[in-house]
Amino acid sequence: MVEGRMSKPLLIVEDLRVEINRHGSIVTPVDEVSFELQQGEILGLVGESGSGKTLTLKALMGLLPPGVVQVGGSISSRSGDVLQPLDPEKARGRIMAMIFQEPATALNPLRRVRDLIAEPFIVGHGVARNEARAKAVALMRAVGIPDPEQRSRAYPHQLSGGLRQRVMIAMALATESTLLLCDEPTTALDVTIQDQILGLLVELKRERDLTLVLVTHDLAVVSELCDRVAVMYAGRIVETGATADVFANPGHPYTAALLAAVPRFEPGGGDLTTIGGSPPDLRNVPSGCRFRTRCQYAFEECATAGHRLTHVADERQTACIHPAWIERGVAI
Amino acid sequence: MARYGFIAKRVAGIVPLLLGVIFAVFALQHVTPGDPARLILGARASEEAVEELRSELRFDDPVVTQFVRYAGNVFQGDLGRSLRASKPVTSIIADRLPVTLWLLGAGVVLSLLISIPLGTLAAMRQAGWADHAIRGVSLLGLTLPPFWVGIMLLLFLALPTGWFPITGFGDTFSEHLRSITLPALTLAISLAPIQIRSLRSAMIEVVESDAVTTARSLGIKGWRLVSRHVIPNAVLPMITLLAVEVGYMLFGAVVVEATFSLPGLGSEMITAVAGRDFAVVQGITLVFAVMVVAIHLLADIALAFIDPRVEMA
Amino acid sequence: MMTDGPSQAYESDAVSSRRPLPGILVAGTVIVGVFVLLALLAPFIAPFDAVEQDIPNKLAAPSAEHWLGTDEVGRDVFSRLIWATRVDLPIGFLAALFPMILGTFLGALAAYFGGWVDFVVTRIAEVVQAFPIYVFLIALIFALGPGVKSILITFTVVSWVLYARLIRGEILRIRTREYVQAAEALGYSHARILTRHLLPNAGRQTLVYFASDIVLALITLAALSYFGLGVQPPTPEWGAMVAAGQRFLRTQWWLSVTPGLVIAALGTGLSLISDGLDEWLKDA
Repeated sequence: MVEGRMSKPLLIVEDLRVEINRHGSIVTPVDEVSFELQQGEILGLVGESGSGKTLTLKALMGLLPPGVVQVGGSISSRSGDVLQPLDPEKARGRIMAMIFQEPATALNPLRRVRDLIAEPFIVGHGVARNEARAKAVALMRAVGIPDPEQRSRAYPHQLSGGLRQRVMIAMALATESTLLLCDEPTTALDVTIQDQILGLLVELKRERDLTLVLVTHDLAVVSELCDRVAVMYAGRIVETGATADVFANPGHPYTAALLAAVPRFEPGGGDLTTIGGSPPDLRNVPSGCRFRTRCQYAFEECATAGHRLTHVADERQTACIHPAWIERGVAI
Repeated sequence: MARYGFIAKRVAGIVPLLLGVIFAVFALQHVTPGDPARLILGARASEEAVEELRSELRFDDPVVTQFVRYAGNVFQGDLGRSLRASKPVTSIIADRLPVTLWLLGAGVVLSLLISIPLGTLAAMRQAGWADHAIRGVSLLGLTLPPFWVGIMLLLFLALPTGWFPITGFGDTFSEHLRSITLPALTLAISLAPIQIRSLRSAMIEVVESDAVTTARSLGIKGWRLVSRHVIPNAVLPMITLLAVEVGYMLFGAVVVEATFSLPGLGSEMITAVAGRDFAVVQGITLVFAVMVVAIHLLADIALAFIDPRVEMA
Repeated sequence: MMTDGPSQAYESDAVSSRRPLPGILVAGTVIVGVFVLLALLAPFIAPFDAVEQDIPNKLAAPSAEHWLGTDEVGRDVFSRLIWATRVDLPIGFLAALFPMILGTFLGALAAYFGGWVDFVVTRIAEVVQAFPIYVFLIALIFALGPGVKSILITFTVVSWVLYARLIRGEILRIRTREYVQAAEALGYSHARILTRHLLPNAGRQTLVYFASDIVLALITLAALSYFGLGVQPPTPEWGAMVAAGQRFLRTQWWLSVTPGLVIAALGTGLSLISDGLDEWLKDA
């Protein structure tokens, strides 16, 4: 399933930096973010809200909200055998598309579903309108919308949340992009629908040879679906690696704390640990490691250490300068 | 078809509102201090004539009876007689209404020709110099009294060039057109600032909306993005704004007609106020009020047809 | 929407951290302050009396003695512009203040008690709103007779509606919040809850609207006086001065031009205050 991932990075992000300037004070919600995306994998991007996951995706798409600016970093994508700088303006709707968190507002309320799905065919691939509408109905069937013929004439507000999200997915597929950036695609949906949508994404990925980035704060989803995971804290990636490795043996105290905070479904289960403190105010982040004010292993040198992801094992990187301590802590 | 049922329902829905409006106009003669019959006949009428009218119009009846009679007359198209012109108020209104409609039509079209490009430009260049300049000018425009703007146009356009008549409405179509230009421009200048400000914020809201972000994420851009995704969603608040603005628009029309001595309903109303011609003031107020109610109704129906989210059941 | 961003962190802190006053708010306050001073100090600043005529010297061009010339009965235009501040500014202010008080009161009453109170207030508001209110203003002033008292009564009757709608909507939105429910649970009286909890919150938008409403009242007052339905001669008033000067547009154009510029200056100051307040209080 993940064969060849080491040899074929589809996307390389280096030192991505995003700033917000409001009332004269500058904050950096995404800072020094670097990662590689392998062809055909599902990468999970996890962290608390406010950690910069969504803004990272939007920066890749070139869709940062007004007042939020990408001020540094480079994004390159692979085309054939060469890597070249990625121009989001050109890449959008051609090689990459995005699934948004809130299907209630993401769809233009004034257009019928079939026209919404047909539009990428028409704009991106020059398909004639009637043919594009037929392809739209076929896509609706492919994403599991019952009665696609009839529902194609509906307006978004006439559909349920789950169906709207399927329409959103069909719109993304209509661009024939192979890279899908999914921003908490199930957060706004009923619990029973969430699994169906995630199942659909995995199925589509397999059928159409897609590459997915999945932003979520649900670690269970990550462990179930994602080949690799990147953990974000206060705008930085603090740890990356294969999901199984990271979860079995976290290389950063924040990852360890996140995992410990997940309630385990064991009969009479253990204590529910939570992470002490709250994420730092981005206007006033701690020097050095940003997690150190909440970290139970913090050392003096954590206050001065620069942010650098170092390899701790094959394909495993952590930003922690004392990863060895965690094993002892968690092993208890 | 659900749409016709919807329209019928909306039209039926304004009947109580119309009754309220008629009541308010009817009540005018009762908030006026003094004898309503004397008010109608004027100060110089003889005591006998006043007494005769009192009994003829049955002002001694209970107020409810009087109102029912007044509303009945209104629905039959009888708005009373003008004291000064000694002819039916309806015939005066019929004479004057076309001028006012000309002015309103031309004024609204001109105002949209000013506000749509400027509002769009300001929204697209948000926080740029064009945005600041447009916002500054529209803020200033809000504070200019319309009658004064009209006088400035007379002073700087009509007097030096001689292209535009200073007063009146002329007799032929081309004379109408020349006469209406400066008044319509004045009206447009007083309407445009509010339109620019609302259009700008509506456009910004739409441009930053999730739906437009989604469209952009699919590679939709340029004119297609603007014409299919931005404009249709920004038109909805614009329709509402035009409807809400209509009351102010009518006041602007009254002011502009008086400034340019255009023989429309507004200048007639001012003359009637000065001449204490009660029935005319009442009648014109009623016509203006019905226009407002009708515009609100039209806006409601238009929104229902454009926006599929409005339930037509 | 930026659901993931740090915006929440801002919003929660915005109230506590003192934000700098927007420049336009300062500029607007300075402009309006100058007009308030002009009104207060008119007897000391104005070189001439407002109503004293000097027929032989009528329609004089601007000179060292009469900076803006004299009007059709020889009164000093510059002095009359200053004296008129004492008329336009307070009437414009009161013509916005009275509707605000009435509208806030009725709107709060309707939202708080609901039921038939709400029904009656909302229906009356609907009818008043269906009127072209400024045209109705003319009709009402006709009924009540020209003059300041009629103007104030009329403004109050026709323009309370927006304040009522604003306050009613805000209260309905806010009253579901926890602290209001907590106050009710603690058994505080209705009046206390209204004044201590609801009005301060709903008050912000009202304040912003109030500042811009003065501009509208000012322009409408000037327009009514221009028609001869407002402030009566010989009291100096800007709109009436424009009307009086219009006859001499070809020769003494400054008679009509200058009062309009003064209205625009005061209006700009008030609009800047309104926009500035809006910006300043937006996120708080």
